[in-house]
Amino acid sequence: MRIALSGNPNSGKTTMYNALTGSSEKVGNWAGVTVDKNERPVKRAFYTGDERLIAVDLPGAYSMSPFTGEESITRDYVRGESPDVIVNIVDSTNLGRSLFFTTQLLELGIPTVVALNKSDLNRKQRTSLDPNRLSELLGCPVLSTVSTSQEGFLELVSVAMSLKGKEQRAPFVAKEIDPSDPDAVRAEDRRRFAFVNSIVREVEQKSHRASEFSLSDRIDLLLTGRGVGILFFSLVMFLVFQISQVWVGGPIADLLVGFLEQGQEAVRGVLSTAHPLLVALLVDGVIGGVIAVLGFLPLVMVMYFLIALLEDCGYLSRVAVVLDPIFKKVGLSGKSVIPFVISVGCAVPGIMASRTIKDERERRAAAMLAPFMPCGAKIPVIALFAGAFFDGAGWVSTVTYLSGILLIFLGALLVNRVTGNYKKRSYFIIEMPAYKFPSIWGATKSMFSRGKSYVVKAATVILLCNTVVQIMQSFTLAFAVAETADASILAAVAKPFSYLFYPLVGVLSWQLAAATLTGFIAKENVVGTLAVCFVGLENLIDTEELVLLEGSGAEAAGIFAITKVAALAYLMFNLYSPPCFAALGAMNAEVKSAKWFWGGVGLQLGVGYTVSYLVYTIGTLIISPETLNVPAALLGLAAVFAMAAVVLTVIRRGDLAREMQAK
Amino acid sequence: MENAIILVTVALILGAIIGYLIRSHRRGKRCIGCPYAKECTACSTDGCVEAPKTEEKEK
Repeated sequence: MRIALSGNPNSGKTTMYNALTGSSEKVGNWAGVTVDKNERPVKRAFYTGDERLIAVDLPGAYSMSPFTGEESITRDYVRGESPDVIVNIVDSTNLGRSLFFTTQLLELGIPTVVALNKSDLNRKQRTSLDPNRLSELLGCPVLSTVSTSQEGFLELVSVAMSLKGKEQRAPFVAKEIDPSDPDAVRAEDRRRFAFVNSIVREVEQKSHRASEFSLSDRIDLLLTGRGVGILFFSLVMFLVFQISQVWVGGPIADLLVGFLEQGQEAVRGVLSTAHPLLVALLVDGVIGGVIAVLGFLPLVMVMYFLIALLEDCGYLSRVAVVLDPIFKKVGLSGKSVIPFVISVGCAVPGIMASRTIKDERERRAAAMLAPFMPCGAKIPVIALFAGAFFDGAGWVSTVTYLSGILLIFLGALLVNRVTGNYKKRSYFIIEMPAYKFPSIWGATKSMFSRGKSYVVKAATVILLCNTVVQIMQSFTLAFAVAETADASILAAVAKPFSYLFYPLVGVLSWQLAAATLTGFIAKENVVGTLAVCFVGLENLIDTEELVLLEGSGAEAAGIFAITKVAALAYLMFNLYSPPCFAALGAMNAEVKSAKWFWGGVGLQLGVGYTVSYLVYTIGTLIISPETLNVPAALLGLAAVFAMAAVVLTVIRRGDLAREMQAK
Repeated sequence: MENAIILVTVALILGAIIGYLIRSHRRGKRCIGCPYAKECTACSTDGCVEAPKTEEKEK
């Protein structure tokens, strides 16, 4: 037996689904967290009997006429796959809006039970509802529930199971209208709203007026103000990075690295009489590469924890409102902010979150620009270079995130210009959920779930990559033991790519090229590969302060053999060039167009290369012009001009095509 | 002897990883270690599927 959980966005469907099934699907306090269908068996603790009960969690929808991609999933499922019972989760704090969708669901004839969720909030607001009267008016069972505490779940499941095979009458039946006639649709919607409002008047009693100012309204008045709002958001993001990378994450990472390195040295000691090549393979390749990545796990986990708190407290929707006027100027809207903020944790859900954006061009632009925000996997890369090359590591991190935001703006302007939509104003409507104290338990679960994935990745994909890199570095193309790493297979494979990096770092370094290449599999690989190629590098970083260990500066510089400016340029290339394959896959799925996908990859490659080239060339000209490698700089300039010529050609062709269409 | 132990250890580790990756691939998971591998439409358990199409309708 299949029960579909459906209702308006942010009504608590996924929280209920997680509780019923024991899943840990992503939850958050804003509209549009769930963008795809999930289904799992309901835990036996909630029901008895032989029949297997499957719960289907559907994305939130405001009506059966979908506005966005995820709403159409819900419509298609309840209409096309006819679940046995629908559990309609209704936000009881917003009954008027929620019942619009309820009346549409009831018209399908599928037995339905209404769960008046968030009833605890209603009690706090001294709003009383009459479930029995509502049940009579709707013609279906109505129960009060609280998703966060599982209140009323047993009864809800029992009632849902008892409804299987029963008929469902519709309290409101829509007239036959032409759906392509907007006036007729609007008139029908108004009729339905009038019916819903008549029900609400009968079953709801509020002790306060909607026009009264609540505490949430007072906080909003302050935090959504233009100036204060942006300042507050900047402060919040600064604290997220400072806490995760310096105050809390750093010291824990230091302890973890120390512990892991003790183990690594113990293994080296045990194998002291073994062949040096095999010791290097196991200790430096397999273990060393994984330590280099796992060492940054605390930084990433603390970041995930803080992002989960932000997602849960209801602040993200406010950020969208605060930044809307700024994003409007570049053809995006405040709704694009949510994918960008989520991308700070991981680009994949960030890209997926763009599905809630209604406008197709804006949605595609958000999906291809979201990877410019440095994600959690890039933190180890930032921390490594900040620690190895720059004493003031804090500003490096801040600069990379600010540059990411700037590139999003510039990228959005470019997308506008290419698509010819620069004259169109973007707009959006977003629901403002009530503020709530974020769940520490929920954030902890989210942190461990994502941390587990990070460890799994380190122990599988990254470990395998490091081992392959170590083997490739130890043998020649003739599969003889390489006398020097320069004669190895890895050097032979990566050397052609090192010419591309020549204008960006001023030297031909196949190691840097190899690290970037493996980074496309997973960005953490950049650190892992560098640790394998430059043995001993990871031992020079004090992760607590994110600076070099005292006295090891010259050693680190000697290992990398590049200048500070070149290091910053190389870091920028890795941050702003195309993301890992997983994120590219998500981007491909969301933009739903080969032209947009390859355009996006080209944009990311071009932006990464150009930014990196400009940082290196201008930086070197300012700091030490005599060290600038002129042939390399000219080569890079030619590449940048070639990319600019491609962009201009695309813009020109687009303009011509639009002119032809207009004629 | 130590050399043999190292070779066997590395071979076991790599074998286990490759086995895990193949099993995951057969189950339809494409992005191993990605915390969103289940949810992402690009790598759902049903294999590579397209994101749903949007219908621009008047609400």
